[in-house]
Amino acid sequence: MTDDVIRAFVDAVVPSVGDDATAGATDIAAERYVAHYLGPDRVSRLAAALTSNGSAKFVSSDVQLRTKVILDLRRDPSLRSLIDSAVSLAISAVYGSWSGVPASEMDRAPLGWVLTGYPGPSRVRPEALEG
Amino acid sequence: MPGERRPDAVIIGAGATGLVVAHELVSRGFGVVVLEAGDWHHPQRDFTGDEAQMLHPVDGVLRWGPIDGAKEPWRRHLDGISVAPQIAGVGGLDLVGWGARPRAYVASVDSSWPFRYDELIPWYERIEELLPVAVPRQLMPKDQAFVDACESLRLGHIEGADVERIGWRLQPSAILPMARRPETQGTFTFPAVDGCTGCGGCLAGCRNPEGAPIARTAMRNASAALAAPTWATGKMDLRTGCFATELIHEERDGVRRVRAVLYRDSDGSLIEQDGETFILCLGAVETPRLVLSSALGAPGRTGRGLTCHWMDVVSGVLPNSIEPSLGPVSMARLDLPGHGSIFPLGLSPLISALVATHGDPRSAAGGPWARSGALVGGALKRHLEEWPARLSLGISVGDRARVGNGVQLDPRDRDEHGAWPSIRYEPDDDDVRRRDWLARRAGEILIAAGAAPESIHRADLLPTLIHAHGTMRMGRDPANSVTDPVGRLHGASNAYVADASVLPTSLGGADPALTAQALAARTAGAVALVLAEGLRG
Repeated sequence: MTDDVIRAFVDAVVPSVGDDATAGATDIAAERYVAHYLGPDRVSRLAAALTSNGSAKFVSSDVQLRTKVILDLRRDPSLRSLIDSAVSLAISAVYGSWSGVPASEMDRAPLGWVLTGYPGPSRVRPEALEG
Repeated sequence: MPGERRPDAVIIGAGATGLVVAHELVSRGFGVVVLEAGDWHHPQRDFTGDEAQMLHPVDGVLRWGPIDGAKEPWRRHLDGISVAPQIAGVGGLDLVGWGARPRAYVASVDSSWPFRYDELIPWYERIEELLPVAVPRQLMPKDQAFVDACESLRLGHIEGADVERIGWRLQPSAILPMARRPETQGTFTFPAVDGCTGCGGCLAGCRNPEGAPIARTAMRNASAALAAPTWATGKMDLRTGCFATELIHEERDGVRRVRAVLYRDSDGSLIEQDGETFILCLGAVETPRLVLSSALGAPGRTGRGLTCHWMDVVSGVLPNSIEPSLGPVSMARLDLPGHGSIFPLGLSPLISALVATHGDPRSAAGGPWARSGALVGGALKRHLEEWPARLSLGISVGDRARVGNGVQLDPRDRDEHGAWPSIRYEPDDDDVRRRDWLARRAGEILIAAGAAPESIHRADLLPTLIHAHGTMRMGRDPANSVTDPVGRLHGASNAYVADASVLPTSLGGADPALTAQALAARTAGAVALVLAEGLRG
């Protein structure tokens, strides 16, 4: 159940469904990245906070409602650091270089770079050079 | 040097200012030991250009933690602060900035420092020559859009380096000029390409041009501009993996002197290093940590008065792509003495997303922005899909020192080095007003640049310590300062502080690096005089 909650969390941060039809956090299994770096204790605390009104509610709610839960929990100073850490990890998974794909498929650009049109880090941008 | 007479100076911290002190003392013929907690990275070997890999707080190349990546990072308590970036390594935080090197606003110094702005000028010129510092010869689209908007609002243009009125100017930067296109097609490595390569990766640590030695890295951070040439003299004993835990001091004939610094090396061994003088360059968090851990300095003032510019970001979508990742991160600025500064920022999608999600949860609408505060979900995704045309403007506030803000030792949590620092920051009403005023001006600049009003977002960030200063403030009166006007610790005759912690004000909102480095050069000059007197007997 905790896995479902974390998956629902990352989907709320960068959704795959709803108004936006493009891929999102769950398409690259960002929940694995978040769980790895948070560690078991903080994953449990996060899941408990998200489901304080009943676990089925958070997992089955639409994106807008889950987003509201996350933003409301950020207002609690005792939870803000945990929520921000988890959001940052979900962001890093999507918009950073971690693409969640097997090594054999690593010739694909990370999801967030495709979503934004970012060319990725480079050694040189020839169009910026003088002359 | 090891096995020889004790060093003239032990410099603790090899960041932006510690390496200035080392360079200046070595150039005057003195022998120095430099203790650095992290490693000395070679950009060609160690830097990947990827922000997530370089900056991850747990296992990033530039994390704040032991060189041994298998060990946990070092922890600090944060109260009221969302992010307190620290880097262990030669160059320190200077490795990942955007290289801005403006001077302080004149009024901010003349109003309350223990000396006048004019006295700083020779030291500014020294650092500007050393790094070097220059303004760009051409602007990238994001910066040109910013400048054009400032011009259309008739904000005035500042030509020189000394700021006494509102105006925009080209960003003084510690970045080599843009390289010339090589004559041979497809050859984009050093020395065919020598200078900035326009990669836009400043925040991930400069590693360009490809194939360049450290000393020719385009970003003139302290590792490239100072550590490399000083190391080449053979007179700097730079030791990495050394975490300073305590200053050992004693009183003789009514005078308190530091006898040695205790540090833990990478093997976990505690080592004592003696010296004639000790110069603390650990930064606004770790310098007070070390002094407080040593029962030195005035406990009621050491660590207090933290300022951080309470930075914010306001962004908007322009009619055309501005290619945020093209060129150095920030090539222009608007100075607003009395309030702070505003500057364009070329942020990657990752940093843009982190900015967009870390707003104050209490943020309320009420300015020229359609949204403010944290975005998640569909709103965040749409915000990022507009990335190619989204112009981000950074805001830096001239915040005021308050005794309740600062660094103290945590009473409960400790690690192998001692008590954790506990860092607190809460802005006051004046800071809120100044910041709101700046955010509104940023919104007006975006509208003047052609931003769609419905696209304007104010991040309203919770306080961060991207800049941090003021915790060991300089002053003539020991009753309300921690260090004297040349940075010597009140109450310790041979211990000096030469980092941004000595700044008596937040410079009016100007980036602190140049001023901290200028003060470090000035302090090194004062130390050199004392050492020379001692040698003359």
